[in-house]
Amino acid sequence: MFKRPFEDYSLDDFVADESFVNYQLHSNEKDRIFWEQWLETNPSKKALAAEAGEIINSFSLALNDKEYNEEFEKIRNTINKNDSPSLFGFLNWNKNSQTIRRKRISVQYLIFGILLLAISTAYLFKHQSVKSKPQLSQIVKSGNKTITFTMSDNTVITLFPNSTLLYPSAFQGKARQVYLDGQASFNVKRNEHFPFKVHTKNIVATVLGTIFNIKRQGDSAIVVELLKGRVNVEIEDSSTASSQPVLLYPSEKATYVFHDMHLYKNLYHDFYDITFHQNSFEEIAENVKNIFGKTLINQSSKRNWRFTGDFKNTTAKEIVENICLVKNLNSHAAEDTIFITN
Amino acid sequence: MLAMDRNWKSMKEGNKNAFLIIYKENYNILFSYGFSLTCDKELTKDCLQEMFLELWNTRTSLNADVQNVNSYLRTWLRRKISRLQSAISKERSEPSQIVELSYEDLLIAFQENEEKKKKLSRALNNLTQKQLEIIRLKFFENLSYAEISDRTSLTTRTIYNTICIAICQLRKSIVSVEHV
Repeated sequence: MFKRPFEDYSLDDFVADESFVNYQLHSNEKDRIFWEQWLETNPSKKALAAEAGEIINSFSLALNDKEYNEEFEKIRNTINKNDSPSLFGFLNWNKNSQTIRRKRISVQYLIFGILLLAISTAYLFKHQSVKSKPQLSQIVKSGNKTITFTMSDNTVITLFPNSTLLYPSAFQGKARQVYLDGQASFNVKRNEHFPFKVHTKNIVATVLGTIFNIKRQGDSAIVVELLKGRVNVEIEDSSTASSQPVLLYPSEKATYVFHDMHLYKNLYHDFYDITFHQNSFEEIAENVKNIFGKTLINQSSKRNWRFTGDFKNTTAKEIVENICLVKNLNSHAAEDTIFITN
Repeated sequence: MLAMDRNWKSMKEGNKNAFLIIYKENYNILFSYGFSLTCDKELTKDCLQEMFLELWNTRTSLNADVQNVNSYLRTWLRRKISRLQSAISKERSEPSQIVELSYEDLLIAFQENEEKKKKLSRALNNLTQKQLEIIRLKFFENLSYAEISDRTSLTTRTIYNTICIAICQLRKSIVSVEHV
């Protein structure tokens, strides 16, 4: 443009130079190659160019060079590793990001356990789980209160009333393992080489730096809810059911339902126990609305019936289906509404 | 534009270098765009990582005839972020709102250091709206001088000078506008 020779460039010249901006933002390969070479042959200008680069990054809301290079390396490594045939093809698991890589090791144990089960006995699997149990010398019970405490690795745990947490005085081995009975909220200090595992009932949640909750839903289920980071949830003792691990992204949750020993992802309807005794449609609809948030509409010609039924670990859908079976009606659902028809 | 298409086709055929070039050439612009929607650096990084991996993994089934790779990826990113945001607000039982921050607010939000936030805020107050707009067009939207000239009806010379003066002024207000 209306430039001085590059060698005489001031800070402002760099910042305002279109091709230099393209170089800084990597938005044009040719510009990038040009300036990279030019800076190699003019090292005295490197410091000024770096300063200009920072200014450009600030106004572009772009990552600084260090962070950008980290992201670039991550993806480059991932697509290069992708070539090896994966044991997880049949799991339909497309996402191969670095964070998931680490958890594959714990999942791999699980998968191998299932496969070997066909040939050998559950002994092998129990052997593995026994090996991984650390000596848990520390016990924290919350009693009637909610208590918050920090672990040796700076993970912050909030233990809700009537809950117990067991953990070793010093974390050893390949993972940080704790055992929870009850409900708690975890703010885990990120450490990719040292995953944090929470064992509760039959499931284990493996996390990296993350914020998540574990809570019970009545007597029927346990829910792992993720707020930030990534959590992998899997069923611990897989000799009882074929189980796919569930990987959670922020705002997702995994629900472990006791009675069918299955891990569901993102169950937006909750499980409850309900009993109806000679209730009219209006009464049932009101209950369902209050508990499940679903609206029931009776479009059938049958109006004056009464229904009696006992439901455990149920959903709105299940209740309606049962009613329809008994009363010889049909139903269909749309969004948050369920219609009952002839 | 044509060079882009070539990279796209090449990537679809499995060329890793072509994919990496697409990544490099689009990453920063997409990151800025993502940040303007989420105001969350880590979330934006994660979404982008996911998106590019999906791009690579599903490359064979993607549309071969993509005219503008950047727009294509922008739309993809926007949908991804939008879905994530409505999932989060559904979880919290809040209405899903997309808050559109001004460029100035975004610049401040992007700073992680409280002290720097204050300094930057004060420095930005000393710029005129026109100066800020031109900076936004050049750096945030990464438009060329020719494109900015079309939009603002100013000559490229004026635009160039405006940028130089504004940067100089900002630097006087703060020692340097660097982020952690």
